[in-house]
Amino acid sequence: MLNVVAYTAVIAPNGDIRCAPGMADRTAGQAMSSRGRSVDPDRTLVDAATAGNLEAFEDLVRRHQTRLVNYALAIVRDTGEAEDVAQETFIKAYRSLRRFRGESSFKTWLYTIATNTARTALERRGRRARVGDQSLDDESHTLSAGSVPSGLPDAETTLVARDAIDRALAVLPDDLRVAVVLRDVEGLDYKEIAKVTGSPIGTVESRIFRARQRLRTLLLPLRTAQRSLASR
Amino acid sequence: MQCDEAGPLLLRRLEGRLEADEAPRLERHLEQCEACVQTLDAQRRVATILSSRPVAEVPLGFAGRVMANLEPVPGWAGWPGVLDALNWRVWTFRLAPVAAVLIVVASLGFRPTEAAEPMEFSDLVAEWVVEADARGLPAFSLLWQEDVSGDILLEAVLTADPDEPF
Repeated sequence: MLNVVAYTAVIAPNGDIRCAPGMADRTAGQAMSSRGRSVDPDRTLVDAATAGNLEAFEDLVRRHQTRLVNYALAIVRDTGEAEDVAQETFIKAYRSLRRFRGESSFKTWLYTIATNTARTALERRGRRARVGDQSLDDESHTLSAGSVPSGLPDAETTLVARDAIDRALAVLPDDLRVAVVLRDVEGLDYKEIAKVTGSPIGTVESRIFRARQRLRTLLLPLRTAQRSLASR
Repeated sequence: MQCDEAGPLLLRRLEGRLEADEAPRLERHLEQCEACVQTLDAQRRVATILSSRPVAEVPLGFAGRVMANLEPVPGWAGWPGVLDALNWRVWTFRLAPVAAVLIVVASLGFRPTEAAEPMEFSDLVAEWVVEADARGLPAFSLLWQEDVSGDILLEAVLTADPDEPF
């Protein structure tokens, strides 16, 4: 069973979205070259791993394992399968290291492999991300203020919240879910998402917009419940 | 501006990516369209909720299992595989047209040489006889003739009359 780490979002007073600590950490440490282009923070380790240094590759695994396991979990919605997808992603990356040309960051390249691996897993499992013809109004997918347990420790509350978010994401078609998870959960920018999914930026924007529209009826009650708990 | 056109712009407004000409047009639309205002608010709130999704910890021993499942990379130790280093797929596609052109040029420029057909033995003898008769010379004297072919000379040597070799 996966342990849950408490995680909160930060909203600016004017309502604009600020990166949550986790999202900020995802972009932290990205240095800028003298030409203003971001330098891949993994470049040194990637070069060493490509030359045969296994310890360097293990460092890369430890650096990116959390993001990949969580990303796979959001896509395939199964704990065991998420670990398999993440593991297979790293193995494929290791085998293809010499073909990695650095045209994108190593992180983006990993997400590309993970996305394709997750899609294959879903196809192999024979079911789509969208849960059949279930309506978005289905009460089982909404989380009203009354259904949120009160008086429970924070870890369990966040576990409930994460499960509710994942259940809502599961309703989306694959392409919408991948796009919105990469943007809002993983914090990739539109250019990176376009590379990962192999789609134009305009298509990525459209998918994210439509995904959020479909999630509003499922997730907004959750937000209300969280605020209700916070005010107690 | 219609709501259909405003939709994609709402996303960019949320993230501060509107073009200079798009911002004022969208603001004017939002001043008149409550539905789009609510859509913008919903987009912001859903993104906030998703970004607050709790991070699950990685199962214990995950990195170790990954490393244990890595197979040795084929090729010399520390050296890249020849095909990988050459990125054979890329070069195959890039050089295929060149190879096709070379094949066409080679096929157009190839012509079988007109090698001398081997002569029958009797024809050799006949030619030698004609040669000898035409010059009125004994057979062996052909040895000292510069313009006599090797075949004729060979026949002359092999068939010369021992009584009249020259």
